[in-house]
Amino acid sequence: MAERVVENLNQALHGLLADDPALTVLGEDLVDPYGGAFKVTRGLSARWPDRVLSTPLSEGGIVGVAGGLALAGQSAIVEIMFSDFVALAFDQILNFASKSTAMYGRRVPMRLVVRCPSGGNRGYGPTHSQSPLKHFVGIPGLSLHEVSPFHDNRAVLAGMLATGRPGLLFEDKVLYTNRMYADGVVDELFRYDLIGPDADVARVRVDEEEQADCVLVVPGGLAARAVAVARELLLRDDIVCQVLVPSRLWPLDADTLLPPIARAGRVVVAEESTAGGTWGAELAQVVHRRLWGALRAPVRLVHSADSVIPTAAHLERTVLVQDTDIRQAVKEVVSGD
Amino acid sequence: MTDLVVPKLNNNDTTYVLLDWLAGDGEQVRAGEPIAEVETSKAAEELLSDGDGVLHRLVEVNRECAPGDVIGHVFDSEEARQRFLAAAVTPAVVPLPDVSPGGPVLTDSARELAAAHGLDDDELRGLGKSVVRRTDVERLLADRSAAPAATTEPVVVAAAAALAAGDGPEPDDPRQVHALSRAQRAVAAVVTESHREVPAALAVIKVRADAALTAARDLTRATRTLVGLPELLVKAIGGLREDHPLLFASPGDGSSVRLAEAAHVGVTIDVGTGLFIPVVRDVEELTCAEIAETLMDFRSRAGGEGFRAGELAGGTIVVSLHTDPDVVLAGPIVFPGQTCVVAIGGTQDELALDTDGQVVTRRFVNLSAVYDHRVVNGREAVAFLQAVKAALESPDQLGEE
Repeated sequence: MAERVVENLNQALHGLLADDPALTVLGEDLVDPYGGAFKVTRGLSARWPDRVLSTPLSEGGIVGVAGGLALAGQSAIVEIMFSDFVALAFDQILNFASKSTAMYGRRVPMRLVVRCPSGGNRGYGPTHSQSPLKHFVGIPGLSLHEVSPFHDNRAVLAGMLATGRPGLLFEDKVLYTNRMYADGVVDELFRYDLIGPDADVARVRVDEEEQADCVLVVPGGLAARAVAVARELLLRDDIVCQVLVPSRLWPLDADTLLPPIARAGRVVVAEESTAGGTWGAELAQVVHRRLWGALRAPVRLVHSADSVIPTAAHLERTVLVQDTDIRQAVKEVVSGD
Repeated sequence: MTDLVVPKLNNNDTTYVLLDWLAGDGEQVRAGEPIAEVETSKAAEELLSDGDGVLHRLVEVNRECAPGDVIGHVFDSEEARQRFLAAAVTPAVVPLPDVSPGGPVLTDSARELAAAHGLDDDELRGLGKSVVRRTDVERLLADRSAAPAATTEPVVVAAAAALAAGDGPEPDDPRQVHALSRAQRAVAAVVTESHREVPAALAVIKVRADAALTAARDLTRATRTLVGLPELLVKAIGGLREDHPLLFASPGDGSSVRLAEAAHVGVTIDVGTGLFIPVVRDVEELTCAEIAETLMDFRSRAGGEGFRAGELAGGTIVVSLHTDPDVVLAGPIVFPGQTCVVAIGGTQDELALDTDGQVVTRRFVNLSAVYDHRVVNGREAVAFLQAVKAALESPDQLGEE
């Protein structure tokens, strides 16, 4: 039985703290016995009490301190309790951390990662359920990643720190209790492998099916939903769907994503954020520009409804992207309706 | 040792699904402690342990079980459980239907096509694929038709006969299949029974709604609960049981009916997760605010955790809400075992002349009563509707605490 995503993240942080004596982890209520709102930092402060610090409620201040540590040559990982509140650190990310790599006459590495538990479907209400990734797309010098059940978080975090570019790691809260996928096996029908120059993109497909009817590209938070949809599409609708899950969402790794999309000629991009200036829209315009001749249908985007997220579970479901929305979109793209 | 027996939880399901075990095999359980959860077509219900002891499960999660089935034992001690196991009593557990072990997985439309042409597993396995799609079956059939024609399969003959009779699906019907949910199948059973048993008749009355809407607004403010026409209607109907007993009756053997001793009013709720009719109990004892809170709780649970079987049973009359704008009239079905269902439509505006001869806007709503004509005639039904109308048009009494 593979470990749960939250355990994988916790082990990743343990490993990084052990490897790098210059790493500090900062955030609200991280210290044991509480161990963070979602228990990702459980047990860290017991081992490294001077490098795992609970901070006051001050997202701007926390990310400012972490940016200062990074500028001084140290490494820092920040936990924002709910990604909605990364808005309070926007200035530090936009105007300080991402700029500092290029303001001193030589390239200065900034080893900084801001972890953002995001997404809804948990009944947490309007200000604790958003997917704010889109507000950070396209900031020069800033990388955006999303946790997925296919990517080992130790490799992801170590890779982010090693680039010397500050980055945000979004973590869809519904994943924490899900299990990681391991050994290339999703279930009895689907297999996965990691493709691209740095094995950044997880590719999920039916065993032995060379030709897909459609490619579904999703960030990690929707990975399990996308796999469930691909299974339904195959068994109920006779549609072969390949799922691509990149770990790094920005900058886009188009060279890895485009060949499978070109082979299928149809693509659906689903994400939980609301429409308007999204990662999916950026991917869509790259696909249109570079694969115009190979496309059999326009790129289809799936977003959550243009609505404040309700707290009541049965209303929240109607607003946020669900399996049925994704399945419907793929069916429409494949049937040409 | 005591047996854990599945009780009868409702009247419309023959089987339930064992949702979950709340205690482990060999775990110590206490009398009255919930140890298993079963799901009817509409609700989840916890089963409690009869006595203290050690649980031994006989049935796996997600199995169907019928009322009366023994799904587990509670032994006095672990030794007793071990003795039972050593005696190798094999419980009569129905094995799960297996998805042809080692056989290929078929997509739905591949399965339909294969079945229509009587292809067997061996032929499909011969394709050497882990998932067999429709195109694979078509290829196999094409190869086959190149071979000398076999005798026509009985399935096809039957389908052709059905087609000749003007119905029945074609074996390779391209139209999408929509499977009915368990909850909808339960609705189907109820409405079919009602349609078969109850000669239903309809009467409709117009109710001026201005006073009731004002009263609802005042009550909402005063009680800080959301009171609307449905809450007032439930309250009004509850107060009419004693004067109009036949509308709260239960049809009997054809020569008599049983009269209800309390007004338990079922209210239709459908938030997109299926139709439920949870019951507001003892309406005569409740204030409008209490009714409002009960209905709010029902609505949130319809979309969330669902209902316990007991909350969906025991109603004596039903209120069917059709309060969307511009709904003029609804004629719902009479719930089996009851004699009347009252439907309320949407609120509409009309122009009228006031006492000074001035034109004013008035609001009204249509109330319909669908009733079992074996028990109730038009006279009683209309008298009942008039009484509901009177209560709603002079709503002061309804709002009393």
